[in-house]
Amino acid sequence: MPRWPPVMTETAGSQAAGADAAGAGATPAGIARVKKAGTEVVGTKPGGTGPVETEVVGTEPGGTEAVGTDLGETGAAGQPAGAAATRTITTEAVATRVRFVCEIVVQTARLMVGVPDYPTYVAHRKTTHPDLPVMTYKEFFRERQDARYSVGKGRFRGCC
Amino acid sequence: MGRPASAVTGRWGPVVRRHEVNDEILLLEVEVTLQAKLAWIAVAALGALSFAVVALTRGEPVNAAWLVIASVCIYFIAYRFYALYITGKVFGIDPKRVTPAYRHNDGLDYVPTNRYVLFGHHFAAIAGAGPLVGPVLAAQMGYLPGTLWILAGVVFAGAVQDMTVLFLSTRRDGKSLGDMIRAEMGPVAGGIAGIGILLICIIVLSVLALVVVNALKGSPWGTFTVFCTIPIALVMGIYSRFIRPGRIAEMSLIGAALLLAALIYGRTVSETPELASWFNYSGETLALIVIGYGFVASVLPVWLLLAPRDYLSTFLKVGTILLLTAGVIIVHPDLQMAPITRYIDGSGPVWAGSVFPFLFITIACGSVSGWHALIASGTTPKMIENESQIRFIGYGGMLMESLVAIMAMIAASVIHPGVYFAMNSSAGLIGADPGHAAEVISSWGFAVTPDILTQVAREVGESTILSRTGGAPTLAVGMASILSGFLGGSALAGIWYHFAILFEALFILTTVDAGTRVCRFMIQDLIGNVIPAFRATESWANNIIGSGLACALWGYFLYQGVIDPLGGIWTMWPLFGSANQMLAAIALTLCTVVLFKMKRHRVAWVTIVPTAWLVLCTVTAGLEKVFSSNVAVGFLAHAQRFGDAVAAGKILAPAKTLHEMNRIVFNDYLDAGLAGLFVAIVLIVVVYGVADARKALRNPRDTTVEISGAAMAAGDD
Repeated sequence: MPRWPPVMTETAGSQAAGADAAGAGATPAGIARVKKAGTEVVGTKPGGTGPVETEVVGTEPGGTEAVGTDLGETGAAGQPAGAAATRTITTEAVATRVRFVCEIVVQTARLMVGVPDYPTYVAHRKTTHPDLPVMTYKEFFRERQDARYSVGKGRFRGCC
Repeated sequence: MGRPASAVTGRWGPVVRRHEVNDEILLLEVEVTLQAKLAWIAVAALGALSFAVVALTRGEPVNAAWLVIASVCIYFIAYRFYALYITGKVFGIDPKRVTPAYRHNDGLDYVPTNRYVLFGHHFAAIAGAGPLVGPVLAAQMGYLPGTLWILAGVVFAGAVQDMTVLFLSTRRDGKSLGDMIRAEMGPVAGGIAGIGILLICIIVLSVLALVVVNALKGSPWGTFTVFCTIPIALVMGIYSRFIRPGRIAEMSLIGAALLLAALIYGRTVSETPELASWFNYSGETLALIVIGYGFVASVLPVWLLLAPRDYLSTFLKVGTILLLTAGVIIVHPDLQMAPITRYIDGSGPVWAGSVFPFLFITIACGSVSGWHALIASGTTPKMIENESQIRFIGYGGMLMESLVAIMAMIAASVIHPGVYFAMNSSAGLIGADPGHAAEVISSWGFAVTPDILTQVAREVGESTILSRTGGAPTLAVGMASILSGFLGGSALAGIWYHFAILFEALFILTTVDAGTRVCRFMIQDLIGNVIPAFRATESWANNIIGSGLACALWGYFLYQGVIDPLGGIWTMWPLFGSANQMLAAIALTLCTVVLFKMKRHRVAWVTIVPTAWLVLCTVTAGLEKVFSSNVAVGFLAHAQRFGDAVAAGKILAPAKTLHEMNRIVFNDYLDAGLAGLFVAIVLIVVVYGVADARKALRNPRDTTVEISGAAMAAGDD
């Protein structure tokens, strides 16, 4: 029986696939990598003697947490205890993390005006409906724009 | 196979060790480390200290930093302990349950979304004019009563409501509030709540539009910049539709640059009499322009005008909130307003009514807002990755909104109290001459000289600041004084003031456009029950008739508010506040009913307490607005007095003609009817709620209609 929900892997994977398909300039592979790095960081609490030391990342507080576990599923991955404590900070790790934070900021700004991530959409269509056509970004954008202001689809926007 | 214990923790959270066999949790060990305990004790001590400074200092100004620190400590503690208690013990959050984002993943509406991205989306959707304006108006009682209600309200009512509705909707495929009420409480309760939502929508639109009109009347600079947003939006709309489709960042930057240019050129406009006369309007004219504009904007295709303005206003809104927060933290000004003023007795010039119940409806959105229930049951639940994130997005998002309200309270309290009352009292009370106004306000106990009043007006580039009611201009003066404190000094105060006005006007007008469309669809739906052909939303005739009706409805109240000699805000803000809180009471009633149906009645007090409090406040306020014998509060008493005067052929101030007298009487009856209707709606829903809860109590089984996790996991899509 599959473990539910495989949030990390599925999101990261679909983003990676999506970006490949769309050729977008984002760094989805980076995301996947960072997420993996994040899981290493968080899941490995040796024995519960104190909170996990998340010093691994010194760059952005938001970034640190963004990468942290969403679910706390990670401990089950079988990481040997204490591995994180010996991890060193590499410039590459910092760079991917900064890229990841930028990506998050851009996605947030777009979603604030009702446009979700396009690569994720493409990836979803390719994996679940490979035989059906996929909207171009232009069509996708227009569809989302119309949907944001059509109440018929159950959207309701407030004032405050 | 058994798995070794898995240990999970947040930085300050408890260590949770799970022992699992075949996905069954056998043992859940929770251990709070000493470090975490000490940290939380420190947070609590810091919060208590800051609060003591805020509450106990008398006679000398308190620094705003204490208010911010006290609030943030309370937010952290509430989030870490109370919210966790609710999600764990009351909801029984199940991280393994499939969320709608996965169940219906279509890459469009239903998309599993990173929780930080979703937090931003949710916050941008709930943040708006409410938390900014309400606290400014409440400052007439001093900053302390309002602040206490903002904090207590958000922790025990507002954030609980947002989070619970988000939880319910997430377990029901992202159903809307109305649908959930119909499903859980029956079609009658659902239908009545639906009518309530339409009425509330109309009142909200008219009051928000009134805020804009009051901010722009007689202000060429402000009017010019706000007018400029229309051609700017058209340029952006065409750009993103045809030239570079979907390039949101590019078009927003172009729009922002043009907007900045308009803002700076606005000073020249206001200083050049020939140009200024083009943008100098009375309140009545502006009201008609706003109504006409709302109609045109809701009829035009969304990509041309509404969407680009929405993008601009969303980014501007979030940016300005961040800027204001940064300003308060960097400048940390002293609060000029007293902690408590004499107006807690209910005789205030900004709005009438005593602390209970009127303070609790004046500050709506910063502590608890029914509108959030509509958003928490809208797009957010369709994108949430995991039930375990409901606390962060629902409760955390509302805490952020509350912080915005605290910032607004600070902005209103850093300006000179005399200036505050000069800006927020109607012309009927203080007159239009700075000398007379200063005299009247000083006689209230807030010493101020005419020079101060004219100097503030000159600094912000306005001809006068007297009777600029509605909260927005006051907030703008407060923001200008804070922001010019760390960026640009007093030379830029005028720019900052008009920037603040522009930002509020922009997103209020966007709300008005979008809200008009919402009302139009609701009206079409309602009339469609009788004339089915009217339901076709694509038809141009229906579009124009529906939009016209919607605009006529809110436009009527707007126009009445503008020509109201008492100052529209004075009359209408209590209606707006009670409408908003009643929606919250309805949403919390639904939450309580569902908790009873889930057989969680032993812990249902978390929603029962705020529901009872809101029902008590709104019903008391509603009944007082209708029946109070105090002329300042009761609509009927007021109508009676003016009606008697009309019968005797006398004219009472502030009315000047017999015609105005009659209009006041008519509007009093209309407002009394509305207030009474709101009370009836909320009471009916509560009666249904109690009946449903009792029925659920008798039934030994879980009777909710949520979508079962296990059953749906099998049948994907």
